[in-house]
Amino acid sequence: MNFVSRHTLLWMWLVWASGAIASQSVGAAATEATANRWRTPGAQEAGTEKAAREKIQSLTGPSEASTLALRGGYIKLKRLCEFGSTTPSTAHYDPPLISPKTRAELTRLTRTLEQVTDAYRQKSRVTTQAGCQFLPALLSYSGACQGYFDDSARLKAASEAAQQLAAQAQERLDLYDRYLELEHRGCTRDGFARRLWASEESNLWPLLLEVPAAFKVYLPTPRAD
Amino acid sequence: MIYKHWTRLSRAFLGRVWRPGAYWLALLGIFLLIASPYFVEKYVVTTLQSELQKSAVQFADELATRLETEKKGFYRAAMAANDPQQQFKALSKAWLSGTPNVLAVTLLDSKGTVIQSAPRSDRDSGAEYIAAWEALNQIGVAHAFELQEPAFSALQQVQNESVVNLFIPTGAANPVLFVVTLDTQQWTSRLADGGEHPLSAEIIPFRADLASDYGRYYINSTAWEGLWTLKFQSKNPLFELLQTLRPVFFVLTWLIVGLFFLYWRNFRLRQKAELELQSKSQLLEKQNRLSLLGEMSAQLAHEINQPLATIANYAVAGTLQLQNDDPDGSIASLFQEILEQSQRAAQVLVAVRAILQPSPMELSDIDVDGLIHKLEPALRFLCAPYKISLEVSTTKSSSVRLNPILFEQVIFNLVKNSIQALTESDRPDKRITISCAENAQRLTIDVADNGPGIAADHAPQVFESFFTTKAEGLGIGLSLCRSVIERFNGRLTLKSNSHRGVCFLIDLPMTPMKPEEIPS
Repeated sequence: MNFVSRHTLLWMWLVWASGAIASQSVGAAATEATANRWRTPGAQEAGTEKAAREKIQSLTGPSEASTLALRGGYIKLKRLCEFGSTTPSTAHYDPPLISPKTRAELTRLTRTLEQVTDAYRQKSRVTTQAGCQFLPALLSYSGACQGYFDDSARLKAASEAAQQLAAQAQERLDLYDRYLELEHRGCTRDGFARRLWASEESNLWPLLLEVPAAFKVYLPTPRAD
Repeated sequence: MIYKHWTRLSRAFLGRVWRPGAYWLALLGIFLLIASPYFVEKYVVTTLQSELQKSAVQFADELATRLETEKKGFYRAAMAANDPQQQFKALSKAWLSGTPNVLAVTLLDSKGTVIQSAPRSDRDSGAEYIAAWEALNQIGVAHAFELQEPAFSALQQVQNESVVNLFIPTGAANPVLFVVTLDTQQWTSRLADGGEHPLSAEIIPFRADLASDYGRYYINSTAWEGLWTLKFQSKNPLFELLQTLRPVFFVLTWLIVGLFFLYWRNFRLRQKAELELQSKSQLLEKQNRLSLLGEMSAQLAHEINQPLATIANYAVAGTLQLQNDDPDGSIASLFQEILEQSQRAAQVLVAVRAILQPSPMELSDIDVDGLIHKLEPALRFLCAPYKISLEVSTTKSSSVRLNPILFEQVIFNLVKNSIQALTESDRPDKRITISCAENAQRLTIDVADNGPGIAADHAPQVFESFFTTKAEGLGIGLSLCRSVIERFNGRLTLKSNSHRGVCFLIDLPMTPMKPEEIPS
């Protein structure tokens, strides 16, 4: 390799590096745009898809707020319970509150959500126009790859929502068990954990069980184009 | 003497100390060029981050105190309400008008069901802030009664805005509680007004990982642990500038490193190429000498063969005289001739060695006309077998400083060239002419023949080494002749060339003759 070709390689690398840096910043903007897209309905969104998106959205807000409230409340109660105690309790109570059936239901739900997103990934333009992923972010919203980037954004938003919902539900189930443990230790009044679980069962859990159907509508099998 | 030592010392310094020193200096310079912006950036960022942290902690403390005060105020009022349902209107009005960050006030029963609500009238979406999420309400109510604190806080995202619900128990016999919805943007808006260290703050869902980012800082307070996190962002333009410059600096660093590497590589390659060139040049010079030696050997063999043949002839003649016991024959003269011819052979060898190993040549003032006349019999002897007539014409004695042996070789060579040219001609009057003339202290000797001449396109190359048109020629004779004549400060040129023959001209500077040598 002679000196000239080394120079050429160096300049090629520099152009690539500059492009990568530019792509990174534009990519970050694109990610933000994706997040906003989840909140702002797209212009070409069908009515049923809009309803599905709103359905999913109607759960993500309360789910996040409830999880945060439960987590914050648990931390406070636990701290109050352990206040003055030099050694934290190591007693273990077999939690009867969350049945294996409920946990299995959550696992099944998570798997269903994964299947829906995987099916969409395989059949949408995310796969059929996979070559577009190599298009620089600067050119991402133009020409033939428009469909790829639209579907990618939709898939990304849905996947994130699915993961978030599943993780929050899992955390809440764990928290109810821990609340029951606090209750058994006498840190809360009797029936406190059950009351919280009742709230979950009556408000959040039914909504969660409806999510796969909403996802199937929001991530339909795309038309071939 | 001092100057000599000084020169030696300065050369040694430049060669052994300065050159490697300069390389190290260049390397150090590049390192500083790359490292100094990094350390400067580190220092600036650390300083700015420290200022940001200081302001953030101060703000978080102020906010915690303010929230606690507000909570206690709401709690006292709520506990004082004997009939919350009746007093709701008055209390909510007081809270909404008295506290600017209150977005809505709601009254919930023990199951979390909304009994009454009062949104802020000056906000279009005030109703949205009413705690309408049943699950959250139920969790909040349960915790508020359980914790027995002034208020249980819960973060809620409404229309992409973070609001905090304070679940405040009342002192009524029938357990109901107030929910005061607070606008978190109001908490943080005063930070945007500026100050010594401008920064913005945002209430975000709780995050346990508080690794500070570039120009960002996160705080979790015990009071809101697990609920929300305060996120601070510096508005100092220096952060943005450094963040923008970072990739530029990154690219520039690699550019400098890359260019230095290429320069170093190029330098090493050039050094290597120069060394190779030097080595090849030496090898070529050596090969040239060997080649010249090989070519000269052939000529040398021929030149030595002549005196050896003569010596052999004289030896045979002497032997015959001894056998015949010829009293008139003089063996002494034959031995004299043998001695002269052997000396001539030795001189030829010495002269050729002088060409191959250039050294000061032994020159003397020679009478060229006499030398040519002395050479004439030998030349005629050369021409005789080919029936070529030789004409030699000289005017008077001309003294030139030269080496007679080498000069003889030049004349022999030129005559031999003419003989070879004439053998290719079929004309009957084959002739070689050697004529001397003086002109302005210069002696010119013409060696001409009436052969076919040299082809016009070959004429400019006849003096080039290794150029020959003969099948067995070496192409070095005329080149050597020219170099010999040039060593006598003379010139050898092709005077004329046509189909009627060729004439070579030897032009030599004459030496002034001593008065006694000037002919009368």
